[in-house]
Amino acid sequence: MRNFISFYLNHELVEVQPEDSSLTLATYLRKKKSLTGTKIVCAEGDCGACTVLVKRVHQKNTLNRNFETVNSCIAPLYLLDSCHIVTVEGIENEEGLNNIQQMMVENQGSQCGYCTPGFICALAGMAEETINEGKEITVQRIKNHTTGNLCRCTGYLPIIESAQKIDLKKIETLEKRYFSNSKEKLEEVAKETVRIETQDYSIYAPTTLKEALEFKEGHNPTINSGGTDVGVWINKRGHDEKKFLSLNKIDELYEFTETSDAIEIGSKVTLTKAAQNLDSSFPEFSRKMKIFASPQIKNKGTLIGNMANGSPIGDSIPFMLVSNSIISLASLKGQRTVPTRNFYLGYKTFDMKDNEIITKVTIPKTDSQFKLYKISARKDLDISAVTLGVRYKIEQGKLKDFSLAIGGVGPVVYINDQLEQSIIGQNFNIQTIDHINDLYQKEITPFSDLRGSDKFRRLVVRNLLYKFYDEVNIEMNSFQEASL
Amino acid sequence: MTIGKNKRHDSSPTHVNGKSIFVDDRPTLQNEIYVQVVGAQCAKGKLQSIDASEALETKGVLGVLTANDFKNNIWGTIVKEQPLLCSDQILYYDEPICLVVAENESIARSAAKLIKVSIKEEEPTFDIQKAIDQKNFCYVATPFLVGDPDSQIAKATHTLKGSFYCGGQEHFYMESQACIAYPMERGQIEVHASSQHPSETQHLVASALGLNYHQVTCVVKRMGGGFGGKESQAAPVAAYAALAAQKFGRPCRIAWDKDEDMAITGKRHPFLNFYEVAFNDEGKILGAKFDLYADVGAYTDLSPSILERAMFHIDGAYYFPDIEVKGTCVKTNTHSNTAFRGFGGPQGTMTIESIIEDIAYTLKKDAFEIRKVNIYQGEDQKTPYEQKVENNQLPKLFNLIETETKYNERRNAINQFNAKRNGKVRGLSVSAVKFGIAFTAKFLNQGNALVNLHLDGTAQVSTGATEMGQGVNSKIAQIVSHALGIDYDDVIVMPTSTEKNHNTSPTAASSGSDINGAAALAACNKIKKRLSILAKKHFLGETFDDVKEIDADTEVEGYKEIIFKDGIVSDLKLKKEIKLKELIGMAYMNRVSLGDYAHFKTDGLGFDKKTGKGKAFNYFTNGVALTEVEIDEYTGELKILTSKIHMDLGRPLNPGIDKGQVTGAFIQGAGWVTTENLFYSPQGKLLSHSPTTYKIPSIQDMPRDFEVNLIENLDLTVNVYGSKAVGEPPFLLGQSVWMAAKNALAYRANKMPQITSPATNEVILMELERVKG
Repeated sequence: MRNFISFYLNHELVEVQPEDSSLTLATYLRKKKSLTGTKIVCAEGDCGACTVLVKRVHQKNTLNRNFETVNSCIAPLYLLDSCHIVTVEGIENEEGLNNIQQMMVENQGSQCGYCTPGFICALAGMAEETINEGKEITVQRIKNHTTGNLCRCTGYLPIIESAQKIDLKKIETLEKRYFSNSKEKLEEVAKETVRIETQDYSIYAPTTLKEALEFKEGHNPTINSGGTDVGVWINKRGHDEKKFLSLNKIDELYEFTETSDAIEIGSKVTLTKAAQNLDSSFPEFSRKMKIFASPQIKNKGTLIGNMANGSPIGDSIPFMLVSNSIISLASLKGQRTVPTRNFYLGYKTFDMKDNEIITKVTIPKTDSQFKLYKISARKDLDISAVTLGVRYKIEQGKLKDFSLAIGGVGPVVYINDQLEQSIIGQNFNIQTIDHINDLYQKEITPFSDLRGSDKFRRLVVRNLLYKFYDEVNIEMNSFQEASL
Repeated sequence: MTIGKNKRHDSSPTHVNGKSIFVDDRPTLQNEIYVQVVGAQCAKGKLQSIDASEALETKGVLGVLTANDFKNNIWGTIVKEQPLLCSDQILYYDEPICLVVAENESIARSAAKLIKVSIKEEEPTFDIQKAIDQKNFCYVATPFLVGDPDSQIAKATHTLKGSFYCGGQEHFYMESQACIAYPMERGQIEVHASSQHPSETQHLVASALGLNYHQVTCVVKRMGGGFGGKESQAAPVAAYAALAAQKFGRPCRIAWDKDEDMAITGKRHPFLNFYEVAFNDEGKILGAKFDLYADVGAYTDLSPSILERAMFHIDGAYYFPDIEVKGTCVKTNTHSNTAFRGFGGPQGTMTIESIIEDIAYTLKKDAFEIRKVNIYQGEDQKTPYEQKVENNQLPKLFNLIETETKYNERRNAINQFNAKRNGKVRGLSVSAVKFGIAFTAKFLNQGNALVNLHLDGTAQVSTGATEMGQGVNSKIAQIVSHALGIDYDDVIVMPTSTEKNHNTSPTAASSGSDINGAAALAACNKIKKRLSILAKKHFLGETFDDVKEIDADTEVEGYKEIIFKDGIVSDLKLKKEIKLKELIGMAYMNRVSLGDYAHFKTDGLGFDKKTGKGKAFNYFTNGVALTEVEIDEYTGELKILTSKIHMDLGRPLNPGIDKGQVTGAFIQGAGWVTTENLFYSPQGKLLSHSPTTYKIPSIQDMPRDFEVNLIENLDLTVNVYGSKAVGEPPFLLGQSVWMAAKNALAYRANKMPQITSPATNEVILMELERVKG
C-alpha cells in the first residue's frame, strides 16, 4: 500500500504530494511543475489545448501499445498512477526541436500558438502509432489524430501541410526514448495499491476488483475510471466529490474476450480499444465510433463509462440496446447480469445498487445487421441531437429481425420490445417504414434545447428511418430514388 | 532580401516547444492574489443589494470590491456609458457586479459563489425586431445616397424586397481574457494584458484607478488569438486586476475560463437588414435601398463604427448606380457586442451576396452570371460613398476563378448529380470581397515605432502593433531586416509597451502591418540616412563631425546610392563598401545615434461623416472564393467539398503567413455561417458558452479540397512595400459556403429558399422541408 501517486513525467519519476492528488494533470503541470506549455482553454476535454501523451503500464501489458493522447485538463492525477506522461516540453530532444516541431515551424503550422502544444502532442501520438504500425502519414490519418484539437487561427490547412512533411525516419519514438527507461520502475509502481487520505479527500486505487468492491460497499465513492465525465462534473458543474475509487490499476477490467458467440468488454476497455476490437464483428459500430468524441476522449473514456453515464444522447447506447447486450455487475455478494434494455429506468437512473460496480458488457454475436446514426450540429466531436440504431435482417422481402433505439427524444434512449415484435415479419417496404415512423412518433417525447428543437428532432427521426430504408436498398441493389 | 519571403513566424520556435509565454503562463509571485468577477443572474433589472458577508468570512478572501471602489466606474471607447461594475442598472445576463479578491484562484472562485446579489428584475428585450419597434436606438448613421434609387425601383422590370438576418459569433480566441497587474513605486501600475489595444487599456486603468497616464504601463507580449475580441473588451479586465493590485498593494491576476469569457464578453453583431433592389432581365442591379440594423447588445462599445463598416460593405464587390444605405444601432439586453474580424463588413456583404442568389433564383439564372454583370469594372466606378474603386482586381479575379476552377464543368456535374436524387443535394457558389483598408475613424490611421540598432548589428524593434498570431511581428521584423540589410533572425520585435510606443491605435482593421510596418520602416530610414552620410564621408575619405538628427523626409545627398544589404553597406556610385557592423561601430565612436523613433500616418484619407461621401479607405483588398457543398437531405448535414480562393494581396510581405491568414479567416467565416450558433435561455443567459455547446469548425470540417492562390499585383503604391492587408478580407469569403448551401436548396425548391445565418443542420433541414412543399 502506498499513500501517494507516482508516475513518470518526461524524464522524471514524480511522487505527488498527497494533497495534490486530485488536481488535474493540467493544473499540476502549470502550477506545480512550471510546465506551462500545456494550456487550459475549455477545461472540459473539448478543445485539445491541454493534450499530453500517456502510456500506462500493465502487468499484463497487452492493451496499450502506444503513447496515447489524453486531455490533461480533466485527468486527475490519481488516475495516472504508474503511467508515463510526456508533455510538449518532453517532445523536444537534446539537439533541439524534433522533426514534427520543425515542420510546424517551417510550414507556418502555428499562428497564435495557444493550441500548438496540443497539436504537437497529437501529432507526436500520430507519429508514434504510424511508426509502430509501419504505415505512412496520410491526410486522413492526420485529421483523425487531430479531430480533438481546435485551432481558431490557421483554418487547419497549414497544420496538415506541416504534418504531411514529417519525416518519420527522423523521429525517435517516445517508447524508445522514454518508456524503455521507465518501464521496469513503472511495473513495480503498478503493483502497489494506492490509498490516500487527506483532510479533503479519500482516494483509493486498488489493484484487484475485490479491494474495489470492498471500498465501494463501505464508502460509496464516486467511481472514476476514464475521468472524461467526472472531470467535467468537477470542473464545470460544481460537483464536489470527496471520495474517489479509481479502477485504473485493476488489470482484469482491461480484458476484451471474443468467443464464437459473444464478445465481452471489460469496464476499463477504452472507446478506442472497443472500436478497434469490435471492427470485425460489428463493423457498423466501429465505423460510427469515428465520429464519436475526440481521440483524446476515446483514449481515456470507456465504453462502459459511456453506458453508465446513461445520457439519452449517449452515442454508444442505441447500439448497446439493439445489440441485446448484457451488463455484468459485481458486488461483494457476487455477480449478476442485467440486459441493457432493462438497465435504464429513467433519466440517469439505473438498475444498479450503490455497492455494485459494472465489470463488463457482453454483446452476443448475430447474423442480423446494424445501422447506426448520429446527428449533431458539427459532424465530429459533438454531442448528438438525435441518435438512432437499428438491428435488422431481411429475408424474402420481410423483416425477420428488427430492433430500433432512438436517442435524444426523451429521458432515456427509446426502445420498445412490443413495437419491435409487432414489426417483425412485416414486408420491408416504404409503407412499413411509414408505419414504423407513425408508431414511434406517437411514443417519443423529444425536447427543445440548444442542440435542436422538438420539431427538428421528430423530422430527423422520420428521415433517418427513410435513410435506413434507402441505405439497405442500396446494399440490396434495389435503390432508385431517395424516399424523401 | 526578406520582404516577400516565406519567413517563419517569429514566435513559432517557442510555440512548438511550449516555451512561449502568455499572460497566465507568467510565474506566480509569492504575494500574488487573484480577482474573480461576480455576474448578474438576470438580463435586466435594478441592483438592490450585494451581500458579501459570507464570502468575506471565507479564509483567504481579502475583500469584495464594488463600483464604488473605482475612482471612475464608467468607460466606453466611443461613448462613455458602460459601468466597469454595475452600481444600479443591470443590462445583460452575467454583467459584472462585483469582484472577489482572494489569496488564490480557487478560493476566489469558491467565495464568489457565496455572494448574494439582490436585483429587482425588469422586462428585458432580446429580439432585434422588438428592439427596433421599441426604437431602442443608440446611433443613427448619416445615410449614403447616390442617384435616385426610388425611381429605379419604381420603373424596374424586376424588384425584390425583403430582409436578411445573420447571427452573432463568438471570437473563441483560444486564450481567454487575462491580465496581471503589478503595483509599483509612486502609485504606478504595470499591467501585462492580453489586449489588442495597449493604449486604451493603459488609459482605462488610469482613469478607473484615478491615476495619471504616466503612472500606468501596459505591456502586451502576445495574445493567444484576438480577432477583435480584445480590442476594446480587454481593457475592463485589466481594470479589475489593477484595482485589486492597487487596493491590496499586491500583484493581482485575472484569467477567465472559457465559460466566463463567453458569457461576459461581446461578440460579432447580429444584423437585421432590410432591402429593396431593382434589376433588369440580365440581372444587372439598377438601384437599391438598404436599411441596416445592428444588434449592439447592452452598450454602445464600438458599434457605430461597426455599423458604418457594414454600410461601407453593403455593395460587396458590386457596382450600384443608384443606391441608398441607412443604418441604425439597436440596443438589446445581451453582452455588449464588439469588434470581430470584418467589423460589420461581413454582415453588409453577406446581405448583397444573398440577394444575388435570390436574383438568380428569380431570373432562373446561375448566380455567377449575376455576379459577373455587377462587379466593379475599371478604376472609375464609385462606391455608394463615392470613393473610386482603384487598383480594382475584381474582373481579373472573377476571370481566374471561372477558368482555373472550370466553373461550367462543375456546374454541369452538379446538375447531373442532383438529378439522381440520391438523398444528397449539392450546391455551388462564389463570393467576392472588396474590403476597405483603413480605420474609418481617420485619427486611428497613425502609428509609431522605435528601432534600436545595436553595436553587434542586431536590432530591437518596438511598435504599437500587438501580436495575436497574425504574424505582424514577423512582418515588421522582415521590414526592418530588409531595410537595414540584416538577417531576419537579427531582428527581434519586442513586447508592445505603452512606455515605448504611446497613443497607439488598436491592432485592428487589418492595418497592423500597414501602419506599424510603415512606422518601423520610417524609423529605419532615419537611421539609415545618418549612416549613409557617415558611409559617404568614409568612402570619400572625409573627416566627419557629429551627424545630426535627421528626419525621414530630409533629403540626403547621394542617399539613394547607398545600399544596405546582407550586412554590407555599399555605394553604387563610388563602388565602395563597408561592413554594416563596422559602420555601426564608427557611428557609435563618432556619437551618431543608432536608434530612432518615427511616426507614420496614412495619407489621402478624406471621408466626410456629415455627407457620407469621400475616400474612406486607403485601398481595397480583393478576393474571390468558389465553394461547393453537399447537403444530406435526410438530416440537413452540410459538407464542404471544395473551396478555391484567389486573393489579391498586392506584393505580399510574407506569402506563408498571408496564406495562413486566408485559410484561417475563411474557415472562421465558414464557421460563422454554418455551425456557430449562439443559444440563449429564455431569460437571456448564454447557454452555448464552451466548445461542448458552441461549435467552431474542427479539422474534419475543412473543405475536402481547399486551395489558396495569391495573384500577382505589382501596381499598388500606397502601402508599405506594395503589400495589401490580409487579416479580415478573406473572412468574408467564408460566406461562399452559405451561398452554396442556399444554391443547393434551390435545386429542391418550389419556392425561393430563404435561410438565416448560421445555416445549421436544423435551419437547412427545416427550410428543405418548407421549400419542397
